[in-house]
Amino acid sequence: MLLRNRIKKFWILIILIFIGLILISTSTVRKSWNPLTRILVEIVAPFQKITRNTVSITEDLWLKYFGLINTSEENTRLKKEIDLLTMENFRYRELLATHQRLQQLLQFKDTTEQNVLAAQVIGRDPTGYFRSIIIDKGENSGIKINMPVVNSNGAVGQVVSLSYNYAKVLLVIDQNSSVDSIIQRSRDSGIIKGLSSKVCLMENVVKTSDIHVGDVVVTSGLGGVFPKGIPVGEVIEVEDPPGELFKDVKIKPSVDFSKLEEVLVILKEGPLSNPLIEKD
Amino acid sequence: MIIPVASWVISILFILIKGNLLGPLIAKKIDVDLVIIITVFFLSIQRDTGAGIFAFFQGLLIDILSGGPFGFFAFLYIIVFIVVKLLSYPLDLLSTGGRITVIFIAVLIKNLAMVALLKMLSLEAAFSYNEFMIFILSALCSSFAALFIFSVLETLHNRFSRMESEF
Repeated sequence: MLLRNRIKKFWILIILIFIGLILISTSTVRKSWNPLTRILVEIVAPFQKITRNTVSITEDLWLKYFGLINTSEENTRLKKEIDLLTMENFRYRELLATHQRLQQLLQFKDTTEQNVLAAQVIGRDPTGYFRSIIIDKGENSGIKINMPVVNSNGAVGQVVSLSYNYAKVLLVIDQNSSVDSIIQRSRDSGIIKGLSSKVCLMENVVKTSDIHVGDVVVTSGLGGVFPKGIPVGEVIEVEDPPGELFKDVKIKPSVDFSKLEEVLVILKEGPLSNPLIEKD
Repeated sequence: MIIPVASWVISILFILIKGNLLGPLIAKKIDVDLVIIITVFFLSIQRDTGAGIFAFFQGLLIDILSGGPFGFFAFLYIIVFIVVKLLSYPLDLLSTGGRITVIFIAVLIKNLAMVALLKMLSLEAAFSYNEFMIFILSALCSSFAALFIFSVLETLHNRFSRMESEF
């Protein structure tokens, strides 16, 4: 009986390892989720949305409301009144901030010739090792793999996984993301890769290039994902190490990734968003 | 039955909330690994199969939400489960010292295996002295957090076991 139990446990373990290996080997980083995963995503994502909203509300209350409670107990009535008004004020401010953000997005939407779709960020990577977000729009809204994602400040990332109503976006600041870019002033090119949430690296920048701190970096349009001219960041450090082929260029991303709430997906049919590639 | 269900729910909630807290509040990468802590707890109460399945599905949930290849964390946590199982032979999972040591080693191995696996999959994975120190800090945080989590889970486990035996 004990032996049979052990054999059973051993086989369960082998099956789990086998499933894990199959999942890794059949998944590339950029591929639509398979039907089973899609169902899982459709189940998990609403909970993620709820927790996101709960965290957001709690954060707002903690940072903006409870911080004000530690005043003296003398004018309780007045304090209560102030608290009520403050709460109301914060609500209006929050509405105003949302309105401003959406207005910025709309302005950006007007300036771009491409069709864009606004989406809300409902979740972030829980590992802290990869940098990705989940948005509340998916295949049903016309989103496809590799479509570029931006906001009013610049390039955010690209769609890497899709479900019916949700999509995963790999951010520009992820170590495995690469965006073909150019220096706006000198037109020198390079590839932007993530380093940390605040700094990106511009790789393959030739020694003869003319790059200075403060130069603006924009997308080159050559990678097949981002349209040309979308801001990526600003040069904050340029090093010319002797004996190396390329310059070391550090970039500060133009998007504040810690405050991403709404994004725009550019609905463009690029060569990389070809459905045949997705199926492969 | 209540404790395993509660452990699953707590772990799922923790994973869902963690992603949203990582940005504004928690220092990135320094991490309390609740999945490993609960896996060790399941092993300590003789639920070997449950521990393996728990590790696998929590990894799968992380895979859905993270930017890595699908199946990456599911596979990683199964590896960690095997490591914990092997460590449970020389070390006593019922003693405080044994638990701290097992969780410390398991979290450290998980992080190192994660870097190795990423390199094997030809993905970028930064690894430096600083990263290694962050891994050690994460392992320490997880081991000490485990003391509290274990005491809560054990109290509940004992209480419910007593209630079940009374019925």
